[in-house]
Amino acid sequence: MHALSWDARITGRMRDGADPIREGAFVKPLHHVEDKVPEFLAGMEADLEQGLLPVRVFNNQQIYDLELRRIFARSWVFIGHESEIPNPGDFAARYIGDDPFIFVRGNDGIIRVLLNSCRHRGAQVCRTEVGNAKSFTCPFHGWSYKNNGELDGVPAKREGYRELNLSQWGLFAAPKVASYCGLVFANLDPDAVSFDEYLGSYKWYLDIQLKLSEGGMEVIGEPHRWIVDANWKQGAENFCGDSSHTQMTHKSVIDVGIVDRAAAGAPNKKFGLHVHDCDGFAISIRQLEEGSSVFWNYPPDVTSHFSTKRLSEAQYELAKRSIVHNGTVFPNFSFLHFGVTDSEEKPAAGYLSIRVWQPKGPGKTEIWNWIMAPKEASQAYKRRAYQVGMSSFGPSGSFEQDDVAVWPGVARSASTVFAEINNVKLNYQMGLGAMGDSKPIADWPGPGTAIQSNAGEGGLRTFHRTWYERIMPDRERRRDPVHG
Amino acid sequence: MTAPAEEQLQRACERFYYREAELLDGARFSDWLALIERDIDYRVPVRTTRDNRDGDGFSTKAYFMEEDYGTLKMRVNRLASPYAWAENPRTRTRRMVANIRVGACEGRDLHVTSNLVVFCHRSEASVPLIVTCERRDVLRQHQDQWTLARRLALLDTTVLGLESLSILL
Repeated sequence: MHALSWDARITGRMRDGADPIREGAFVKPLHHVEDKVPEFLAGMEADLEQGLLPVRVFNNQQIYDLELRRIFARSWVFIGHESEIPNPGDFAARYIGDDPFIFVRGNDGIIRVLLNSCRHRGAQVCRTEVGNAKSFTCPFHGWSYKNNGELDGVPAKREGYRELNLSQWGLFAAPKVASYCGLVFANLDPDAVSFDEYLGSYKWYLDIQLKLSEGGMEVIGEPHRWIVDANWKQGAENFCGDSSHTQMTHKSVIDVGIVDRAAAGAPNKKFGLHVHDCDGFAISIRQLEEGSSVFWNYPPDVTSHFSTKRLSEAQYELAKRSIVHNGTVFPNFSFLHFGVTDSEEKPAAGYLSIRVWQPKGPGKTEIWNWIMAPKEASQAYKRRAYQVGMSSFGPSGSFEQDDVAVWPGVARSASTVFAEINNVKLNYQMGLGAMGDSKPIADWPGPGTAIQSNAGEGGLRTFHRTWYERIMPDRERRRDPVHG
Repeated sequence: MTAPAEEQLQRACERFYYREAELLDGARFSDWLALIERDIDYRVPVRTTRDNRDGDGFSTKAYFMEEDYGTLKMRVNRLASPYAWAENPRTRTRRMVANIRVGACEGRDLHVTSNLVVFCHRSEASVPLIVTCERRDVLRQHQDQWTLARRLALLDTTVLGLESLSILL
């Protein structure tokens, strides 16, 4: 093995023109890193228009490497809820893509998202998942950082680091952090659009989940975390409105009465509602008959806190008839507002699940699941909401158990040589154009294209189009796959 | 308690756990439910990695399972469905119950702590996924049989490696 001398490495770096000392605590991401685009991506625009998707996107190392750089390093990624770190010094370990960050409230009360990597030699300065700390001291050589990320001190400074400027060696921080209804998102791209602009008109639907209750929603306890052998996009697309899987994947919960047929999304036009092409996002809504007051099965003592104080009349009315709402904020944050039961002896109860599909490799995902309830709800109801949430969606959830039993099959198909040789494409054509018999609702009060049917996959097509736009800059697309 | 009586109690606990493991490994979930008390409190808390000074990291708010008799019954009912895909085809489990420690006795209720290792084979995987935990139970002594009145299963993992917790601990 050739050992490169330290001096040679320093010299080499100088010759490349790299600055050995970074200015400030944040470095602009390098956008030229390993950008090898698989051939099949270039012609995908035509596929998507026809409702086709190359199966390889669900398990391909090249695609995955691109996603980490072009999507996760440039999108607004969910970090956590403010209520998880209420006090100065509270922190929780979180990830952007597969990179480790510390979600921390500084002594100044400000929430930051700091890269969990010592500026000295790269060891992780925080080795626990949650806690409270005034400072993070690296266990390697003892560089110590305040909980706002500033470098506070280094051992033997007077003897060996006399000229070290502490202010230049703080922990790297996500350059953009936004809080929306207590949900904290971060973006590693200093040139990214604001979170508000990123959400666009889709905010109309997110507001319904989070602002209906006057006090907002709060997180109950720590998140579930578990590993599934599937691509991160599998869960993210599923939450965009894959209504037709419910009847098959979740047949067992319908059979034993955990959920009734209407809530499960029977292919009946009256109940299903898909909204897609909403500034790149989508939501699936299931409603009961006009005039019914459902509010996801929240009981009256909870719904008494629901109002139009922070919502329009149209948003309120939509919530009133709803039994299920689910959607995805691209790339990997999803929500599910739902009302079910976990026992024949107890009535259905509502809850909000929020989740992250954290990429852990092309065919591996860590799912993070938090359960939320309206802030004003009684402690007893919050407990009930938690139990119902956990028993339906989560690692032991009666619904989710069966989702994750099926998804690994897709990742398996995506990695086959057969798929590679034949560029196998999956069918996302349900409800597309003449395939369906539903037209967009003309007088729909909300943003996006609303279709009164469960028999469609428009939400999933929206997700994959957004994905394609983010992963493939215009210049790399081949407009005409035949002649191009 | 005399030494022979203590030994007898230890044996009785072993018999209960061996029987329970036999039923669960044999997918006889309805028979297992017959061992469960109507006032069962069954919990599997979420765990987080914390500094040693901050304790063992078990949540008092977040659970992988937080069950009563009605919810366990519903889970068992669902497992009988051929459409419960997580368990059809079935996870082949092998439970090892060890380090059984008999604690205090309150009336008919006996506090028992044990270690559990579950080897889980799914589909074609030649290597098992392994779930380990400490179980803190309350066993209720009836004349004809013993039952489970309380279970706190303390997992050693923070991130579940098992795709779904479709098995009972």
